[in-house]
Formats: sequence, C-alpha cells, structure tokens
Amino acid sequence: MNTKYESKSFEEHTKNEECLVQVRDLHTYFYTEEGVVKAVDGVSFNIGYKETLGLVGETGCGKSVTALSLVRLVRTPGRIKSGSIQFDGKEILELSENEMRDIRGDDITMIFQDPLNSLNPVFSVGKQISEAILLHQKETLKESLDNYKEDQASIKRQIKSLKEQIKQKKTEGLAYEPKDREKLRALRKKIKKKKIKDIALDLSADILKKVGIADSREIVKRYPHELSGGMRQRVMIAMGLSCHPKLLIADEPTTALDVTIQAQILRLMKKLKDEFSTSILMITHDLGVISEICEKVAVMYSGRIVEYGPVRTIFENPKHPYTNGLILAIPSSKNLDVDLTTIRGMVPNLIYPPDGCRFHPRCDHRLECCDKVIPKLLYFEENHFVSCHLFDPEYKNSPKYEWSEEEKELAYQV
Amino acid sequence: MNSDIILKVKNLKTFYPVLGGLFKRHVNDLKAVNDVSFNLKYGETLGLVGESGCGKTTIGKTIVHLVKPTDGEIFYKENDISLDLPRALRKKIQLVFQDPDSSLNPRMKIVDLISEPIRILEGITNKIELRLRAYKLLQIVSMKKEHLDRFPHEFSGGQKQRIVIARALALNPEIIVLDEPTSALDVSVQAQILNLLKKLQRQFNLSYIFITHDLSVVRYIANRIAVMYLGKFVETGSSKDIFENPSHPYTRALLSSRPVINLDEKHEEQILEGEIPSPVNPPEGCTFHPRCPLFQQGVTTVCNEQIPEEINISDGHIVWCRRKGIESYKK
Repeated sequence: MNTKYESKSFEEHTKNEECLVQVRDLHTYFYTEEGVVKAVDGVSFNIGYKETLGLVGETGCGKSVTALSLVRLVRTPGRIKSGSIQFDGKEILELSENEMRDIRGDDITMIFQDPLNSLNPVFSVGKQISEAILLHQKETLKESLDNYKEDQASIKRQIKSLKEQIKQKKTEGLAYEPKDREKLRALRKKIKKKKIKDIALDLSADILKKVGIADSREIVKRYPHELSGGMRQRVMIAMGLSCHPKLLIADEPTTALDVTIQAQILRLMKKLKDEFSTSILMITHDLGVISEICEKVAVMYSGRIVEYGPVRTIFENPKHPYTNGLILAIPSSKNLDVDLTTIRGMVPNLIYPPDGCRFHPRCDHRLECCDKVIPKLLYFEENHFVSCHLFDPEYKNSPKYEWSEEEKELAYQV
Repeated sequence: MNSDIILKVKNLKTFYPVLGGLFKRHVNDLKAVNDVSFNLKYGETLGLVGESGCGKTTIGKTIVHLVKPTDGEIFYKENDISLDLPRALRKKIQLVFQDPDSSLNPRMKIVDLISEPIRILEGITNKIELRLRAYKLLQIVSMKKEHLDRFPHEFSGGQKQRIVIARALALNPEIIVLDEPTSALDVSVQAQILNLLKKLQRQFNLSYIFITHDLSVVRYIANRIAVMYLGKFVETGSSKDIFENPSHPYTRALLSSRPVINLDEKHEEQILEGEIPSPVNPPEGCTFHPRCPLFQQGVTTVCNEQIPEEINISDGHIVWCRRKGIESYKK
C-alpha cells in the first residue's frame, strides 16, 4: 500500500532474503498484577548466515526478552503473544517442547552476562561443558569412542605380539633384553578404560583450548570459583560453542569484564565466528562493543526497533532521533569541551507506553502525527531501515509539533 | 605548601592484612595502594583509571578514612589528616559510590536520607528546616518536590544516583570522591549525570576525584588523569597528554582495547595477554612486566629485576617505565 509513495516496509523489502533467523512482528507481553508489560511490541529482524547482528538499547527496552523469545525461555508471567520466528526453515513458535529442547544448546546457544551465575558452583567446569556434548553430540561421541576403542585394541594386539616375542626368545635361550620389558611397560600404561563421559571430557578440553585457555586439561577439573572473570566467560563461550551451533546469542557477554579482558573476549568471538561459521546475536548497551564486532545493528527503544542497518552506516549517519541522541551522549573527542547532548526525560513505562511513536515525548523533531500513528520500519537506503515519520513520505506534509516552553521545562526535570 | 592545592597525598600505602593459619595470624599483606603521591587543586577533577583490583577505590576510601592508611601522609589544606579525619573536616570530603541501590537505605524516605548528614554533622533537628534543606538539594539535582516522600525503590537508577549526589552536597563539601558514579547507568542517563556533575563543579567550585574504568568518561570529565596498575601509578598527566601522547605500554594497551564507535579514534591495535596478577604477591621489579609487550619483545631487559624509573616527559606528565622503552615508541 505504500508503494505509491515509493517506500517499502522492512518485511516487504526482505521477503526473499536468505537468512538463518527471520523474526516477524514479535510480541512478548508480561501479564503482571499491575498490568500488561509490553516488553517486546512488534519486532522484526533478520540474521543472515555467518552474520553478527547487534541488538542495542537501554535498560528495559526489551532486548533481553527478544533474545529469550528466540529460544522460548520467557518465564511466566511472560508469554509470546504473537508473531513468527523462523529459524533455519523451522517455525520456532510451533515446535513442541521436546523439539525445542533439541534445538536449545545445540543449534541455538546462549551466553549470559554474569558467568558466575550461569555456571553451577558444585560441578567442575569440564563436567558442565560435557553435559551439552553428551546431550547433543551423541554421534560424534560414539565416533570418538569407537576410534578410541580401536586404538586400545591395537595397543592390546601389540602387547600380545611383544609378549610372544619375549616368550619365544626365552625358549630359544637368547639373552634377556630389558628393552623389550620397558616397551611392554610403556604400552601397558597406555591402556585405560574410558567411558563415554571421559571422552566428552576430552572433547571439552579441546574446546577450552580453542577459546584460548592454555592449560585446558587442568582447567577442566577446576570449579568455577577457582577461575577469574575472564576465564569464566571463556568457559561460557566454550560451552556455547561446544555443539557447533548455528546461532550464538550473547547477552551482554563483556559487561562484567575489564576493558583489556573485554578486548580479548571480543577478539576471540570474532575469530571463533569464522572458525565455526556461526551467526551471532550480540545484545549489549555498549555502542562501542557493537562497533567492534557486529556487521549489522538494530537499535531498540521501548520494545520496538527504531533503526536497523549496517553498523558503519548507522554510526556515521544515524537517522532516527533516538539513535542520534544515543551516539551524541557518548563522550568522544568531538564533544570534550561542551556539555553532552542528552535525551530529555526518561524511558517510558512499558505498562502504559505513549501512543503512536514511543519516542515522541522526548523527541525534538516531533511532528503533529507522531502521537497518533505508529511508525513502521521503512526502507530508507540500501539495507538501512528507519522507523520514524520524519522519513516516511506518507507523512511528509505533517506540520512540526511546537513544544511549549512549559512542556520543555517539565521534560528536563526527572 | 602551594596555596592552590586542596588535597595532598604523599607516599600513601594502604595494605589489607591477609590472615591465615590456625589463630588467624597475619601472614601477608594485600598491597592495594603501594606508594602513591598526588595533589588535587581547587576546582579540578583528577581521574583515576585502571582495571578492577588495581587499588583505585581503595585510594578513595583511604582519603575519607573508611580504610586506615598503612603509611604515608594526607593533607587537607593545612591539616594533616593522615591519622584521623576530625568531624569538622569530614563534612568537607564526601563520597559517592558506584551502586546507588546499596548506598540508599530502602526503609528511609528520600527526605530523611538527604537530611541525615545535616542532622548528624550540623546538629539541626528541626524537621521543617531539614525538609527545606532537602528540597533545595533536590532542586539542585533537578528533581521534583513530590519525590521527597518517596522510597528509594520507586526511582530509576539515574534518579537514585542524583539523590546520592544531592546527599553528598548536603554539607557543602569541597572535595567529592566519585567512585564509578556512572558505571551502572545507561549512556543517555550517564550523559545527564556527567552534565550535572560538571554544572555542580562550576557552581560550587568543587574538586573531584573521579574513579572509573571507562576511558571515554574520564577523558570527558577529568583535567588530569592517573593511570593505575596493581596499586601504583604508571602514568600521570593532563587528559590531553594521556590521550594524545600515551607513553606507558599499559596506558597504550588500555586505550587500544577501549571499544569506540568512531573509527578515527581507534588507537593502534595492542591487546594485552593474560590477566592482572594478585596484589598479594605482585611480580618483582616492574609489576607490569609479565604482560608488558616491551619486555616480551626484548626492548627493555631489566624490568623483572629493577623497579621502573620515574621519567618526566613534560610538565606534569610523568611515566614510570624505562627510558629505553619509551623512546622506542617515538621511532
């Protein structure tokens, strides 16, 4: 219907795009005693194969709930009210709980902000990583177990033949050779009965090595409290990658870490993404982290996506007033001697969100139509989508809203 | 003593005892702050930057005597406060913590929270007067009158931090130690708080000690910056010196690992390996040498034996490193 204005909605524009995850018009509400909290209210985005999408927004804008909806882990009183989540051709919202459990931890894995809270303190790190492997990688495990058994069998055969040789030498009355004995002893040491659990533990150690933990055989036996913050986060990443997932959801993975450790972790995630060819959904409030690691970014405000597009385009040329405000609020070399630009007012209450565009009470460029019509996520330029009436040709002629002085004054108080 | 200096800290050492054994003997010291000296001028902001566990918070706590210094001298104007902080001076130095949640008593109303220091240290008990003072303070941090009778849980993080700042201002202090005041906040709220702090500084001629791990924030707010590593300063200088001419390998690594949205501001890639060692057994010689790229590349050699030299690069820009190492950056 918008075609006559030469503007297409995001859904229309990316209909035929090949991608791993396709979220369309997702609504996740929390039915609390105080009212219905509309945490996610009509969110649509795509994650391509081997792509890193950053989901950025302030506290309470619904970015974590969006991620939890993707793996269907929203807790009561929360419920996914409507929408569609296509993952690799499957409709996530229509799967049974059992099918969902197969996907979680296998095809989609998640890393949380606080690694100490997401690791179980009473189990060793290796045991926790191997749990996922035991559940989801049965075939690989079987294969490695078979290989191992074969190795053991060949060692046994060697021992047997060596024994026979020694016996023969004895019967022939040849001199006793200590070398043979030593060989036999060395071979006997190699024989170890390993169960499938031990194999899984070995695999965990291999993965830990991949995330940059040098002494991985030793670390496998450690408990979470014995590790430092950076190490714990590495363990979480190892756990997330242990089953070669198609999508890794990282919910503020570096927020609790120091900058130097954060840089290490970000570099590691970049490297592993290529190695495992995983797509990543990166959730954070730190625009700097997004700029380091992501290719595309979706800016969320109050349960909706306000801007979506390639990282560099958005950071260099933000269109939505909220994105612009966010970027200007970061201290940088450009605004050293002036006051920082702030967005006045506060994040709205999600039980009674403002009508129309949810940003309108804080927006300097507000139009007359902003508090009446909900803006759609519309095509702006190549891969760049904005949800704002300012860029919607349909509302080109809407007059600008004049803020009265009183209103402005009130808005600056908090 | 120079008259424009409000706080002088000389060779400050703060050790926490490590107890162990059957009778909780004193077995070792955690050297949180190890020989640190600095001056704070009137109306100036000194930024303390470093990773967690480097002792930056302990410096703040030691100045207000929440922790007793082990050794060293602290002067507030002409008064020696190394051993004790008298009540009359206590008013003049205030502290704001990172987490506003845990610094506000959830059972007290805002009016009581803000007027508590006035009641205790100024001895005013008249309720109406206290209420009036609290309201004035709330106005300073641009909050509303109806907030006076609410409880802390009714506020957002940014508002709570404003309340904490209002409380710190209650006794007309001259120095405020700000311990990561914006770390728990979102960027847009952080910007509001930073603006507020700058405004208050101009209005009341406050001196700030700003403790943070966020380099972008410290660059914006601080006049001078001290970079800390394992209880020691590794580089001090004006914020321009530190950002435009970082000379210590640790400062350079910190700057390069800072995620920025503007690619022009990116410093050259240099990611540190390993993690910060335990301050109970700090490495010999220069505490940074196990992670130092200069030492690993063999540019400097004696770092594991000798303590670093104090090198004056320009006025007020001091680096604790080896001359040879710093010169290698200039090439």
